[in-house]
Amino acid sequence: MSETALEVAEVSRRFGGLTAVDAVSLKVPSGERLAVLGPNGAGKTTLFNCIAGALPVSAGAIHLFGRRVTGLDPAARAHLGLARTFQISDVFTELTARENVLLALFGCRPTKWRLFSRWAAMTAEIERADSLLADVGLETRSQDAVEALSYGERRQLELALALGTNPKLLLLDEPCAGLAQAERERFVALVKGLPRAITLLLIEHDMDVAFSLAERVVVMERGRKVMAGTPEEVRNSPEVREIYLGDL
Amino acid sequence: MTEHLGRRAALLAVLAVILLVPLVANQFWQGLVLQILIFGLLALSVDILMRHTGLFPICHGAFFAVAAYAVAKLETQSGLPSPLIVLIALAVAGFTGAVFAVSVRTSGVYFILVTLALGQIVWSLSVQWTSLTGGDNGIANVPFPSLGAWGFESLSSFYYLAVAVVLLAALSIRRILASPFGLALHGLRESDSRMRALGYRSPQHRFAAFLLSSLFAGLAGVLYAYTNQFVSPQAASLLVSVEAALMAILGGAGTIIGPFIGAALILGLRTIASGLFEGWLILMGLLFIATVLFAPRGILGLLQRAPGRGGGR
Amino acid sequence: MTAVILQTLNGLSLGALLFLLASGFTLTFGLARVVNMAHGVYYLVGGYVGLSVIDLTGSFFLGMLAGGGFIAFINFFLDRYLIRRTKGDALMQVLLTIGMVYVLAEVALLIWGGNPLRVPQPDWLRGPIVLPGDIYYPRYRFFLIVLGFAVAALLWLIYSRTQIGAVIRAGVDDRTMVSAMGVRIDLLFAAVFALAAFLAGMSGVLGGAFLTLYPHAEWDVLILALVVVIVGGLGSLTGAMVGSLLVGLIDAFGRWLIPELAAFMMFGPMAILLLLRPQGLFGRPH
Repeated sequence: MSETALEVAEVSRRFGGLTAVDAVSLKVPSGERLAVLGPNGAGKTTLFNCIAGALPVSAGAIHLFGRRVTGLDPAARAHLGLARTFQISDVFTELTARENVLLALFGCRPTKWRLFSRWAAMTAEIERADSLLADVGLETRSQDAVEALSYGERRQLELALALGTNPKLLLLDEPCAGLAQAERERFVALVKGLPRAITLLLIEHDMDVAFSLAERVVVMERGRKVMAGTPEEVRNSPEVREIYLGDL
Repeated sequence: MTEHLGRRAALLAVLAVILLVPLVANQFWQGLVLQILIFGLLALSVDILMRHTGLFPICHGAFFAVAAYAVAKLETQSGLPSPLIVLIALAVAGFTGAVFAVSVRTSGVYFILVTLALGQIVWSLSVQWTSLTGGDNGIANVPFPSLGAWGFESLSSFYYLAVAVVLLAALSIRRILASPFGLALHGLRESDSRMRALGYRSPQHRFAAFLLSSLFAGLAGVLYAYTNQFVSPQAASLLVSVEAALMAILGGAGTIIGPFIGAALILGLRTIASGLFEGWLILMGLLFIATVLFAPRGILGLLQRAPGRGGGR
Repeated sequence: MTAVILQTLNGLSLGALLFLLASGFTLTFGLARVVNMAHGVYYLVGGYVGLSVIDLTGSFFLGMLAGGGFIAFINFFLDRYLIRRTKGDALMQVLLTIGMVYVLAEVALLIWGGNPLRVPQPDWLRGPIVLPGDIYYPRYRFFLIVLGFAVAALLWLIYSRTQIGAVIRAGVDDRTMVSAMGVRIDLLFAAVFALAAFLAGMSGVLGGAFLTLYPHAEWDVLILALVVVIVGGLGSLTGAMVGSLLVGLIDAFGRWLIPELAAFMMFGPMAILLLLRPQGLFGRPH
C-alpha cells in the first residue's frame, strides 16, 4: 500500500493565454480511490488528458508507479498499466460489444500483431471478454453491434474497455454523466466493487457520486487545486460550498 | 443460413466458370478474366486501407508498376529464376510502400493528396528514366515465368497459376482481416484516441497496414507483367490508382469479393465501350460520378439495402 | 552564372503560373473544405477555349477573359449540381471531381484533337527582353513573372486587408465563426469559387502560350499544383505563394541538372518535409 501509483508534480497546461491547469500536484497511493471535484471549466478533464498523455504538459512532471512518463504517448502509458474512460463515450460503434473488449484485451499484448490467427477462434480471449462484459452488466449484449446499445450501455462498455487492458490505475472521466438515477446507482455499485489492486482516480462534477465513491477528494477551481481532504471535510468546507453555490 | 449457402454456391459457380475459360474460350477472354482478377486483387489491396483502416490512398498504381517493371526488367535481362525475380519484385514494391508510408503521418484530405502526389513519382520516373524503363516504349516481350529448363509456354497454361495466386492472396487477406491485427485496423478507422488509450501505437499499425497493402498491390503488378508480357508507364498512371479505388468502392461493402465485382464491371464496361466509340473515357468519368452520387456504398451495398433489410449494416 | 539566372527565371515563371492555379485550389479548400481535382482540367479546357477565342478575335486579352470566364461559368453548375452533393466527404469529392476530369478532358480531346497546340503570344510580348548583365530572356515569360506577382499581391491585399479576406481567414480557422459573423455565406462562397475557377481557366491560356496544351496536361499541372499546396500547407495563401516559388524553382533546376531523375528532386524533399512537418510549411496541424 505504500507504493505511489501516480504522482503529479506542479503540472501546468496552457492553451495560448489561458491556463487550464495551474501548477497542480497530486499524490495517489496504490489502491486509493481519489476523486477530483470541481465545476465545469475547472480544468479537470485537461488534467486528466495530461495524466493519460493525450495532451502534453506545459510544465511539471508526471510519474506512474515511480516511472517518469511526462513525455510518453498514451499507448506507452497504457502499457505501464494506465487505463481511462472518456467523458463522451469513445467506443467502436461499428463493432460488436465483444469485439470492442477484445480490442482492449489485445491492446497491451503482442497478440495485437498476430496476422494469421482468427480472433474468432481464440476461445480464451472471447471468454475473458464476455466475462468482462458480464462484470459491467452487459452479459446479454456481447454479440450486439454497439450502434444498437443505449447511452447508458455505452458508458458500461467504456468501463469494460478500460478494464480490458488489465489496468493498475484507472482514470474515470465523469463516468456517470448523462445517466439516469437508477443507472447511476448501478454504476456506482459497479465501480465500488472493483478490486483494490486497481487504483482509482475519477473526475466528478456531481458531488454525490464523488463522495460515495472516493476516500479522498481534491477540489479544483479555475485550474488550481483548492483543497484536499476526506469527503466529510470537503462536504463541510465553506470554500467548496461557495464554489458550488452557482452550480446547485 | 440459406443466404449463406446461396452465396457459397454462387462463388463456387464463378470459380468453376473461371477454371473452364481456357478450355472453351480464346486468348482474348482468358486475358480479360485474368485482368479482372489482377485488378480485383489490386482493388482489394486498396480496400485493406480504404474500407478497413479508413485511409484513402491514391497511389497503388505505383506499387503495382514498380513490381511489374521489376519483373519485366529482370525477366528480359537478368536470367535469374522466376521465383527469385518475383521475390525481388515484391521487395521493391514493399520498399516503395515503406517509403510512401510517410503519408500515414497525415490524415483525411491531406493523406489523399499526398499519396496522389507520391504515386506520380513512379509515373514521372517511368517516363523520364528511359535508360531503366524504356520510357514511353516500355519493356516488351516479357516471358512467362520459368525455373531452369521448366517453364510456362502459353497464356492458357500460365492462366491456372495466376488464378491460384489471386485466390490464395484473396484468402490471405480475408484471414488477415479476421485476425487481431485486422480487428485493430477497424478500431483505428473509428477512433484513434481510443486505440491509443488501449495501448495501440496507431502510427505503427497504420504503417504495417500500408506496407501489407503495398505488397499485395505489388503481387498484382507481378501477375500483370507476366500476363500482358509488356509494361509501360500506363501501369503507373493515375488512372490505375483511381480505378483501383473506384473498383473497391463500386464492388462495395468491405467484402473480399466486392473489389472483384467492381473490377469485372469496370473492365467489362471498358472493353465494350472502347470497341464501340472514341472518347470512351467519358463513360468512365460518368461512372465515377454516378458511383459517388448513387452508389457510394457500392453495388453490394445497393443490393443489400433493397429487400426489406432496412438501411442497417 | 548566366545559366543559373536563366533557370531561376524559368523557375519563377513556372512558379507564377502554378500560383494562379494553386491559390484557387487552396482558397476553395480553406473556405469550403472542397477538394476539386478538376483544377487541372480547368486549366486545359480554359486554355483551349482561350485559344479558340484568340484565333477568332486576335486578342490575347479576350482569350484570357474567355478562358477564365468559361471555366467560372461551368464550375458554377458543376459545383452546384455535383460537388455539393458529396456533402464534404473528401474521398467522394476526390473521386467525383476526378470523374469530371475524365469527362471534360475527353470532350476536349474530341473537340481540339490530340496534337499539342500552342496559344499564340500577343505581338507586344514576342521576342526577348534584355536584362542587366546582357541576359536575353523571353519577354512573354518575364511578363508571366510580373503578372504572377501582381495577382499574388492583389490576392494578398484582399486576404489581409478587406472584410471579405477577414471572413475567409476566419473560415479557415473556425467554421462556426463564419456563420456567426452574419455574412451572406453562400454569396461569398460563390464569389471565391468563381474567382478560383476563373484563375484556373485563365492560367491555361497563359500556360498554353509557353508550355502548349496537350492531352494529359490536366494531370501534369494538377500534380504540380498539389505539390504546391502540400508543401505550402492546404488552405494557406502564404503557403501557396512560397510553395509555388519552391516547386517552380526545383522543377527548373531539376530538369536542368538531372533530367532523368527530376521527379526525385521534386518529390524527395516533399516526402522529407512530410516526415518533419505533415501539415506543410504554413498549414495548421490537422
